[in-house]
Amino acid sequence: MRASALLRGRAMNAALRACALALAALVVGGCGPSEADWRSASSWSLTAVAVARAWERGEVPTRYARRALQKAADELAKGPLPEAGAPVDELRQALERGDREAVRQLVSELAAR
Amino acid sequence: MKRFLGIALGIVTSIGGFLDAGSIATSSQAGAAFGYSLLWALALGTVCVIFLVEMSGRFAIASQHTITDAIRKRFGFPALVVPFALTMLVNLLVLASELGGVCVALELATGIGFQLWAIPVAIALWLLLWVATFDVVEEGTALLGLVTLCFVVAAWKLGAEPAELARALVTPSLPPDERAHYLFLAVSIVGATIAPYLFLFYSSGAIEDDWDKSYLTPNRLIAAGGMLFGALISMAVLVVAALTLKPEGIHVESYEQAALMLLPAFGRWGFWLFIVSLAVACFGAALELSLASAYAMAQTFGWNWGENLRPRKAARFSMAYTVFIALAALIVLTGLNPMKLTLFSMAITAVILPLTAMPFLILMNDRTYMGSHVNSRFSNIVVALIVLVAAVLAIVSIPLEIIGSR
Amino acid sequence: MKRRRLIYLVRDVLDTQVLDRKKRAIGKVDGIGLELRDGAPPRVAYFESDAVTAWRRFGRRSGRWAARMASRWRGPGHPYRFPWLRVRELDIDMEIDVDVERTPAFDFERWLREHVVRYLPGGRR
Repeated sequence: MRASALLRGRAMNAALRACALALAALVVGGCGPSEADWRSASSWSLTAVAVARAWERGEVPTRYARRALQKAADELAKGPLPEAGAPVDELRQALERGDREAVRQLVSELAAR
Repeated sequence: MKRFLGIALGIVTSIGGFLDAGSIATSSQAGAAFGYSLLWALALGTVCVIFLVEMSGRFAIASQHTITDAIRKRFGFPALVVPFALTMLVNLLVLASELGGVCVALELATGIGFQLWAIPVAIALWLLLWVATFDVVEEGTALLGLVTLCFVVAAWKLGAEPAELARALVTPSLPPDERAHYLFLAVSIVGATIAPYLFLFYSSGAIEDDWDKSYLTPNRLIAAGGMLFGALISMAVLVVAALTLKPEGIHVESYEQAALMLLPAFGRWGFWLFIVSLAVACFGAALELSLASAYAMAQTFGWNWGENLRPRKAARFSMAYTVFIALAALIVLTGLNPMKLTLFSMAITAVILPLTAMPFLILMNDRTYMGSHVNSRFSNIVVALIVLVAAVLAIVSIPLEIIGSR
Repeated sequence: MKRRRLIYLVRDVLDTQVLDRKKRAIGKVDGIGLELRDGAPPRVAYFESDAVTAWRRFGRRSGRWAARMASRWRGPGHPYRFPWLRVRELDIDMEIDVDVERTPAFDFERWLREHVVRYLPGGRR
């Protein structure tokens, strides 16, 4: 009985110390856009391109493409380069209109960047 | 002959039931970000889970106890409380991930937001457990789950090189950059493969099916065969992601991106195959998880439990999974990114793993329970090593991942 | 019990599953009551199947919390104690010669059945 109480006490201390460390790390690491943010932004741009191309080929339904592009635009807007969200939004609008020409053009512009 | 069919069915249902939100999320992210280089984590997890599942069956056969029941008896109620509570918490998060997976699949298919699907899907899940016999439900969803073999077909179609795969399976490596994320994914993969609910559930099933000593070999075959072939599907998900998403520079941060991965192999069918695979795999896992949690409660507190008991006959047991499903639905309703939730709950599973695996290992070596069927030193070492290493890596990599994704 | 065996109270009895005469689950052995006598060795007076007893073993504070919950929500008959003489079999589980439906251990189950399960679809079967 006493041993388990002692173990619990020690475990609590260790846990508290771990939490304090984690919090400190969070505070330190929470400033400025990181490598991961840039990678994420690039990934979402490329996602938008892939989704639009797939829609063009008729491989994915419009419903999905629309939501996926919306998601990509939102994520880009939150990222280190918020302006990148705008062309993706344009892409989504063209897609919703069913304007294949516009989509194709926007995709090649986006892919070129 | 009958025994042979039983073994075959056991293996097939294990394969169909292997994939879940955790393996889909972790494997697709791993393949998209790091190509084949995380296959060793999958191999490690698979080896460990084969040992654990076989031991789980052997334990039930030799001791005629379920694992939870025996842990309480051997270590006492006070020692069981904390691991039990933590396991319940993690189970809840994982259930929310599975539920989220089904809801996301429905969102991809219909365009209606995943949160709106939380309640209907939860009710469907609950209704199935409440009124149907579990055998039919489990076997039905597991057989439907065989649709996930489409990933294996896709990997073959895309021309995956078996030699390259074999090499990646046995050589652990560390990439030059993104190390924290790599470790986090490695740990999540192990957590996704060795879900504790799996081997706890397996022992309950063995008791329910009255497995006696004659089932020792069938148990070994089902454990090894089912887990091995099931893991092949997880591997296929990783490989397909590596071959289709990585070259495009797409990292998988959301299921919308993962949905693209079967398009090169199957064209338009690829989109729908992904959705159906996701939905069926997660739904089956959700059923199993809800039951496993209710079993754990019943076996901890001594209530009536059993897969085919009518709710009237086992009110506490039935209400346990009812409440569980309701809570998981609430979590999905909060709108938390289902993929992020999945990845974190997998990593946390790896942290909690020792709390369940260690008492289990002790039991596996206790002659009062196992008689002559105690563990070999080799089994003990393999499991203990993998579980401890995974836990340590998880404790290290989770905070780093949180920092990295800020 | 048919044969003479040496039984360790903590290893073999405590935290064992208790079944009734129809092999239905009653609960676990959460506590053992020993009777201390003057000038005579202590003996086992009863076994107890009670959540409060179990929580008290976990810690003093949780025991007090459990007792408070119990006094608010429970009816009479707790803690459920059954005497040695009722024990029919002690092997993997403990079987006792009672009908679980008549024991207070079933109160929670009965309450759920009458107040919740009954109102859900299919709950009346």
